[in-house]
Amino acid sequence: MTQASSLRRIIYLTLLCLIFFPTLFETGKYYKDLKNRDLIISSKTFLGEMELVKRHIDKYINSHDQWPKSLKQAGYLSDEHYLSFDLSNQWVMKASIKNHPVTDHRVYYKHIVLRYNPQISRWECDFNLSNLSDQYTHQLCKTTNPSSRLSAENWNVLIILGTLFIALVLYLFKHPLLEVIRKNDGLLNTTDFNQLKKMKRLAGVSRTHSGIMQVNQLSKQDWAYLHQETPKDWLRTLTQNLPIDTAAVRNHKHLTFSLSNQFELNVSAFNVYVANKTDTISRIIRKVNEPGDKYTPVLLLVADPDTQAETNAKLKQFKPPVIIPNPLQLTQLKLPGFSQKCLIKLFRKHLPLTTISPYQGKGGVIKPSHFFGRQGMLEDLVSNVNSNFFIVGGRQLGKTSLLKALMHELQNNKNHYCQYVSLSDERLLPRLKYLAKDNSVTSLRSAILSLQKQHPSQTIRLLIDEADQFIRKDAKNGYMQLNEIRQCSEEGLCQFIFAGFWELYAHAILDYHSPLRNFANSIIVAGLELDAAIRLVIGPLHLLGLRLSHERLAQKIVEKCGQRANLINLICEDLVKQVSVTKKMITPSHVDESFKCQNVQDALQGWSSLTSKPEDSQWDRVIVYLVFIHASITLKQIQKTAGKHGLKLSAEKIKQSIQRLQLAHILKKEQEHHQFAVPLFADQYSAQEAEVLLQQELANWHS
Amino acid sequence: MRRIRASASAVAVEIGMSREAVNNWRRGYSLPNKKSKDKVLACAAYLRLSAQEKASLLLAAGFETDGCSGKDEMTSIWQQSLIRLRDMKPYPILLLLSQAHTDLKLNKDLLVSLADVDDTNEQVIHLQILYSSSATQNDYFSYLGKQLGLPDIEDDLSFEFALGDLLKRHKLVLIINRFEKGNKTHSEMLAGVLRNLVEMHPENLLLIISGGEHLSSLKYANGDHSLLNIADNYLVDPGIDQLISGYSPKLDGISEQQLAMIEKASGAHPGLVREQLDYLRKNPNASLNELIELVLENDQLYCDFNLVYQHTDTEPLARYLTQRDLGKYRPYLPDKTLRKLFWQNLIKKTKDNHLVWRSETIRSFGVQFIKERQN
Repeated sequence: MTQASSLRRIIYLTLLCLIFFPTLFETGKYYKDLKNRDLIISSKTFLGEMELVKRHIDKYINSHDQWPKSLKQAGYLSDEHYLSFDLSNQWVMKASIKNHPVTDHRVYYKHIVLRYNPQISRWECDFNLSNLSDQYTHQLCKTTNPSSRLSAENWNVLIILGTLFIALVLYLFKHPLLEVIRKNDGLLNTTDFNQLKKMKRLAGVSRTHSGIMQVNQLSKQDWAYLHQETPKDWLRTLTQNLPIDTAAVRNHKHLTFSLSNQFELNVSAFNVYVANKTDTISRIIRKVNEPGDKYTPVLLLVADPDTQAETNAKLKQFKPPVIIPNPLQLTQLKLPGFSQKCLIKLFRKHLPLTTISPYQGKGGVIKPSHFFGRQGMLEDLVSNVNSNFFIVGGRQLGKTSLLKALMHELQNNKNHYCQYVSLSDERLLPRLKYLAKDNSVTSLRSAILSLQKQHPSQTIRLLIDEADQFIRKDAKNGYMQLNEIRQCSEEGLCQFIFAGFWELYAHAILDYHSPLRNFANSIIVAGLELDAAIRLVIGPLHLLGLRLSHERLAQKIVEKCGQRANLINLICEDLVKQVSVTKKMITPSHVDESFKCQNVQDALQGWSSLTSKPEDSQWDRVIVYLVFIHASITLKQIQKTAGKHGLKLSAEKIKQSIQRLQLAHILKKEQEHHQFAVPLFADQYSAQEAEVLLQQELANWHS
Repeated sequence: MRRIRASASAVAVEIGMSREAVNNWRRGYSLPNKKSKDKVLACAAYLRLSAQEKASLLLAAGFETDGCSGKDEMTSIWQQSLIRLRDMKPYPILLLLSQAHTDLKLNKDLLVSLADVDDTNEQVIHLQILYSSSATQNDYFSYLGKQLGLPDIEDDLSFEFALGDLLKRHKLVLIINRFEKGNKTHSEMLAGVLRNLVEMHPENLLLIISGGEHLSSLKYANGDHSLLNIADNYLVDPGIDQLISGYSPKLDGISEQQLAMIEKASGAHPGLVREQLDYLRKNPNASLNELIELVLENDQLYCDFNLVYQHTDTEPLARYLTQRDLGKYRPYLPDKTLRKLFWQNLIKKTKDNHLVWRSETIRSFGVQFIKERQN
């Protein structure tokens, strides 16, 4: 509803009224005249007599050039039926209305006084002496302009009607309710829920409702139920407006909703209790506290302002976390464009930020909204249906998140069937058999054929996570299963995407004789892209209503984490924890504190055993300790140090160790120097501590 | 009540009683009946009473404090763990680590108290592991299956699939005590199974895995248990108040001064605290020196130092015994001497993340021990 369209409507209505009003006025006048009809008829009778007398006098003056002294002298010989005339004053004719049955009693004894002007030979009315109202008097004595059809009284009526019309127009188009909406570009988000009904009526009369509906993305049905507050209606509205997986009516006024992964905050479900005017506060408390999940937040929808104020005052008596939206928020929950934002706002205001924070520093990222960066990799995986892939990277670098993002990307694609399998050991076949729910499966090939049968005309895409043990065991068995997998792939039965770390890398890339070589494209998962990493810091913080005191803090966090998504998440998670109560700005001291937090320190561990071979892990540790001591080290320095301590040199082992540490995103190579990829990692041990640990490691080696 | 500005009606709502009943207790017109002990405990928790205040409340209400407060402290550790667990999303896995002698008892009553009575779809199950290293894979997993009511469990895979099916319908909180005990291969298999299931049913599987040094090593040293990699850690280190409330039969008999003496001598070492409490009950006027003497003669402490001595090198142990600040605490201590000292509960983590001896007496004990050994 724009200002221009509103103006156009006003103009149209005004024109309509200009045409309509005169007719209305005339009609009104006609009916009023009808009421005085008798009076008017009688006035015509006595005015006719007067006119007759007047003509005689005119005739007399024309012939004698003087004023007649009586009617008889003027040649009027008839009786004075209705009027009595007085010509005693020269040039003045005074006619008084007699008490006659024909004339109306309302005009008895009233006078009409006409003066003759001999100089110009014209009659004029003496207004001072005439006292008959305009409507019944002689033509000359009418006070108003004869050309004007409206009397003063009629003008009043017209002004009143005009005022009423303007008031109506203003009421419809300039009503504060509609005015607020108009100023808000037609959006209803600033309209009180309790005024929605009135607003709808106004918008309907002023024919602005379709514009409002369009701007607010409301269907006819939405519009019809916009002001309704029944549980059934809230169920329909919230299910429609929010990313809901399942919704159910628990009992009459209790609704339960489970949110889908599309919802950006870390809230998986919420309950709704719809209170109406008849609900007392104690009943509301009792009903909300009824047995059920006391950890799931309850949205308490109370439209009545008094009940709402009362409920707000007794929040402490509720067992589950209760959120009471204010009237504006109730409206926003009804609007498709605002519902989700409003719910996010409510959650972040009423629930501890730590529990709703979307940061996830451990395990595969489940929420698509929290998957940042790696778009190139994802596009590769989505579009190259005919290629297989190895997703290789160290622990907690984001392999599972990438697989889950791919699953999400393809979940609505009818041409693909995606199956995620997490392998904790070498047994792929029994897991596929279980997933295929087919007992006749005896081989990988038959499992895939079974899946194909269940999902005809779909490309089967198998996402095999934690594949290291499977690869290692199969390599020992002469790659029996992998050869079968290769065959299935070549026949176009299935696409395979393996995710793993060292065993996968070693067998797929380093082992020249492995059937995995050239079987798949490799994707190395390391740190995030810089811009994605910065978005990962800032985006969720903004969502939680938190801000960094300096923009460069985001850069600092990203740099310190070596762009590792899990560390960024853990640091931000801790930042949220630090400011969750005060909701103050995040300062450099908060960030420094987060660098030292337990979870971050935890995530920096677990590097001491990157492979299943203890000797290889020992090499890894020696190299890492050397980097702690020297900050940056070359291959030659490693060999030299090892030699100094009497260790047998194996260039291949050192090379592999370095490759492994690089793949784990612990080391990075700059020119010929190896240094820590994650600056936070470097802060773990001082050079002196590392020296002690290195000595212990070497002593163990020799022993 | 005045301290936390709580009204009688607020207390009544919290503990599920009427306002009149609470007011009657408050004014001494009536006492809670014998079955209402849990209500009194809930009241104490709501009013944030200290261990001693709670004991006084229980006594005033006509209940015994023996044992029950200890159980309650244990409940509070488990309850806090469950609260943390329920807040952990999307993967609710908690490692509850504790040093030697800190026994995280978990009995049936405690388990019942942990269950969310309001959530009928959630079950809290204490999953016990077969400790015998000679148990077969079938024994190990069918034993687990029986506890969960899963029929026909033959191996880890059938356990994984059956539990997966169960998780499609129910929400389970599994508490696994001493995860690292028993057959190593089987526990690795179990870790793998749980990891797969957590990945598949993150909303419905909540895990608390408790243990000590070995569990910590599984997470940090080995690092190939991705189940443990995505778990959150919680190091349980009960303070002197918690230990006292757990072990002392008569709390009101111990003064603040005596508490300070116990803390100074034992450093809140759970084994030593128990012994000192016993001694104080028999000798109420014992001095600090007597308590220190008691520590210096403690057999358990000798065994603990001996264990460290046997598994590490003498030189670093002797060196650490000369230091008061033993360096920065890290979730995984790469120095095996420090690691062993920590898990044997001889050293502790301070609030500022440093490692120090539990008490000066324990350090003196160690110095004496190493001298004897070196001679």
